[in-house]
Parts: sequence; structure tokens; C-alpha cells
Amino acid sequence: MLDALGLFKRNINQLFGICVDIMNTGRSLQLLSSSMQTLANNGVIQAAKIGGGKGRPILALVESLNQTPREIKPEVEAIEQLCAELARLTAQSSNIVWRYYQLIASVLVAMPQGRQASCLMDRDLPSRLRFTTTADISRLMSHPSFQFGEPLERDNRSSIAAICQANLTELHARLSEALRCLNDTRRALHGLKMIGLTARYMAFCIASEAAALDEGGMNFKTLAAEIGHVVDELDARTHAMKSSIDEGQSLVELLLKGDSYAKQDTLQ
Amino acid sequence: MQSKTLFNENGHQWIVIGRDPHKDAHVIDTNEYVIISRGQAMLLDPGGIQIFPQVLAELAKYVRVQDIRVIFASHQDPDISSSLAMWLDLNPDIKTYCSWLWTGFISHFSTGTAIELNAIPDEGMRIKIGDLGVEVEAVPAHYCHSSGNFSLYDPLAGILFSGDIGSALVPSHEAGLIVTDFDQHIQYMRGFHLRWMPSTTALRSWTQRIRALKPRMICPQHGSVFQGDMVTRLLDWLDSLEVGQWKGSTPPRESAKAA
Repeated sequence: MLDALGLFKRNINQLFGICVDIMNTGRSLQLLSSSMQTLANNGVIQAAKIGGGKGRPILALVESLNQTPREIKPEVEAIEQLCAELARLTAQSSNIVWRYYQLIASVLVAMPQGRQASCLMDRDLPSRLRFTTTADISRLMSHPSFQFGEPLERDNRSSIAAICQANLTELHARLSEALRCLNDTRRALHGLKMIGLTARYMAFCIASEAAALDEGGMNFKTLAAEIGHVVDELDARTHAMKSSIDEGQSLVELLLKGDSYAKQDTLQ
Repeated sequence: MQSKTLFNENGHQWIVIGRDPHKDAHVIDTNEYVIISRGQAMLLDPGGIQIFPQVLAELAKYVRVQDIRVIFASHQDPDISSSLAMWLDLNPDIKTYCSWLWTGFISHFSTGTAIELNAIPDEGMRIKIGDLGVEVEAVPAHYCHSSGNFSLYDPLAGILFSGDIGSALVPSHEAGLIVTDFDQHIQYMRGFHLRWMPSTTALRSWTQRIRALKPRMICPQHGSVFQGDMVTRLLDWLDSLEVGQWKGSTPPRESAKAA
């Protein structure tokens, strides 16, 4: 029984680890936003240097590109907030399950042992329950052996079991909130991806316009390539975040059902 | 986990919980004590988190969990109070007392709700067990072994909880909870005191304070309980010790020079 619960507890700690990964990647997006801003500023300056009407299309493009970091910033900030909330919720969940584990172990140690308990038809019930859902605790509490012993012991067992149920209810509420947060983060990442696609398209247009320029076009080709790299990096990090979110989501869904996941590395 | 009633008169009880045969071998064995006074309980050095389920299950035979009103921590070690957050989770109204020196440190055992500790001043204080219970006295035991350390004396029962003083590393959980052969018992106490007690002066000053109290029983946090003649024998033995004498090993370079 406690092995199953031990795994459940370990999974919640793993979830905390996953959420910290998501949070760290989320924070690193801020750097990409700054890089994008620097490149766009540089582009505006370079385009302003081109004399005559040749530089106008590029100036219009880089000015438009200059808006991208401003669009990214609030998205990245929103993601950061969500990630921090996620880390907070999973840290709380780790604490709750840690306390819960100790309390349910106390209830089981305090269960009557020996002949009085073994005369029951279903004496193995406690060992078959996993105690990862409130229903498991209710089943234990309604089991005849739960009523054995002195009134004081029975009262204490009941009150500790009631705290266990409250702990599990609280845990499930936190995990449900974490699931909502994971979904919100995924949605926010989608917005970021759209901005990245726009930036990449701008970079492509800048590169095309630069081809029509003479020597001055080299700077813009380089600028377009740099923007492409930043967007590639953005894609790679959002992809990593999405994988972690998928992993976290699968794990939370299992935990909410009272199930656990035995494999130590990534989830299937 | 075993438990034994050490004192029981007119609704005033002392119970010792200890000798857990199921605990991990790498976890030091501890004794947890509970004083139940007019239905309200005080827990002395409630123990580490590892043994919390066993201690709670045993304690549940004697007192309602809601009636635990006070927790006393003799000092800051993890085997004393790393379970504190769990007890407060069970009953947030429990008042917790420890040396003022350690309040900020023990609070690190929190797992969510902040742990608020009542600070005991260096000179000690009286502590009431709930609203109805009697008063007990926190007796200074600084540097025995911790720099902010208290014993706890119950004048009504004549019992002194001595924390680590008088403690012993008994070989198995089958060892008796009460000392019956003092000379035989010294072997389990000697190493413990020589290494864990840092100050002979502090130890002798403590024995002086305790002799004045004339306790009938001394209950340490590890090992076995002293009662009757064994109390005096323990105090005499403690007075004979020179503790905190470790001078370090000879550095290799010095050894080479000597050679």
C-alpha cells in the first residue's frame, strides 16, 4: 500500500521538477525578446542610412519588425507568471502529499493488529487500498476493523483519517489548478509561435528586398539571418516547453485519477 | 513502538514512547515523553519525521490528538523536532516552546504553514499544560549539549526530562526502558557524553541545579530512564566526567617531523 502511495508522492515531486523546467525555459524567453529588440533597432538604423527611395521598403519592414518584440514581451511576461504559479502550486502539492503520507501511515500503524483484526472476512483490505483517493480512505473508514479498539483510539483514528481526507481534497484542488495552468501556458505558447512566424516572414521579406540593393544589402541579409536564428531558438524553446507541458499534463491527469507512473524518465 | 506509563496519580500521567523495532537502522533511537495533566497533554521532544507515524499511533492510545496543547523542544536537533510541522498540521493550536536561540532555526521545519515558536529565555520559565493542566518548569541546560538547551521539571510528579543528558546508545530495542544495573549501563552512556557534551563546567553546573530540585526520576531522550537510587548515581557519574576533550588527530606533517 505505502509503496503505491510512495510512488504517487514521488510522481508529485517529479511534477514539481517538470514545472521548474517549464519555468526556467519560460524565463529564458525574455532574453530572446531582448535579442529580437536589438536586431530590430539595428535594422531601423541601417535602413535610415540608405539614401534615396531604395531604403523605404526595408525601413517599412524593419519598423514593422520593431513591433514584434513589443508584442512578444507581454506574452512572455504572461508565460512567466503562469510558470511561477505552476511552480508554486506543485511545490504546495509536494508539501501536502508529504504530510498526507505521514498521516495515513499513522492511521495504518494505529489500525488494530492480531486476532481481533484477522477474524474479519476482508482483513487484507488496508493492504489492497492505495490511499491515493478520498474514496480509498472512505473505504478504510467504513471497514469493520476501523471500529475496533478503545473509544479513544477509535476517535483518534477517525480524526486523523478525516485530516487525511482533507489533505487529499486539498491536493486534488491544487493539482486541478496546476492542470488549468498547464493548459493556459500551452495557449500562451501558441500566441508566441504566431509572433515568431510573423517575425520569420518579415525576415524573409527583408532578405528579398536586400537582394535588390547593392553592397548595403549585405547588412540586411545578415540581419534577416540573425532574426531567423532568434526565431529558430524561440521555436526550439517553445517546443521544449510544450514537451514538458505534455509530460506534466499526462502526469497530473494520472495523479488526479489516483494513479501513478512507475517509469523514472519521460512519460509515454 | 513501545510505551510505558512512568507515573499516574490523580489524573496526572507521564508516558514514555520508544524502542521502535521497525525503525530504520540508521536512525538513532529516541524516547518521546508525554505529560497528560487533567486531560491536556504536553509532548516533550516529539521526535524526527521518520518516526512520526509510529509515535502518533502509540500516543493515540493515551490522549485525544486535539488535547495535545503544548510541545517542548529541549534543543534544535532534527531528532527532537523535525516532526513539528506534522504535529501542528494535526492541531494548529498547539503551543510550541524552545530556547530563544533556536526559534528562527526550528521554524525551517515548516512545510507550509509558518511554525511560530514561543521563546524560552536563558534563565528558563514556567510553562502551563493547556488551560487546565499544571505548570512545569524549563530548567537551563545550556551547552549540555546545545548552546541553547533546556531540561523540563515537573514538580508534581517529581520527574525531570533531561534531553540528551543521561542519554545512552543502547544496543537494541529490547533493552529495558528503566535502568536496573547502573554499572552495566555506563558503557552505553560514556561515549555519548564524552563526545556530545562540550563543556564540563556547564555539565557540573547542571547537576548542581538538578540536585537542588531532588527529582525522583530522570528521563533522557535516548536510552533508559533513571529512578530511585539511580538518579543520584547518574548525577555523581556526570560530575566525574571530563567532557569536550577531543584535541584532534596529529596532522600528517607533524607526524613525519616527529619520525
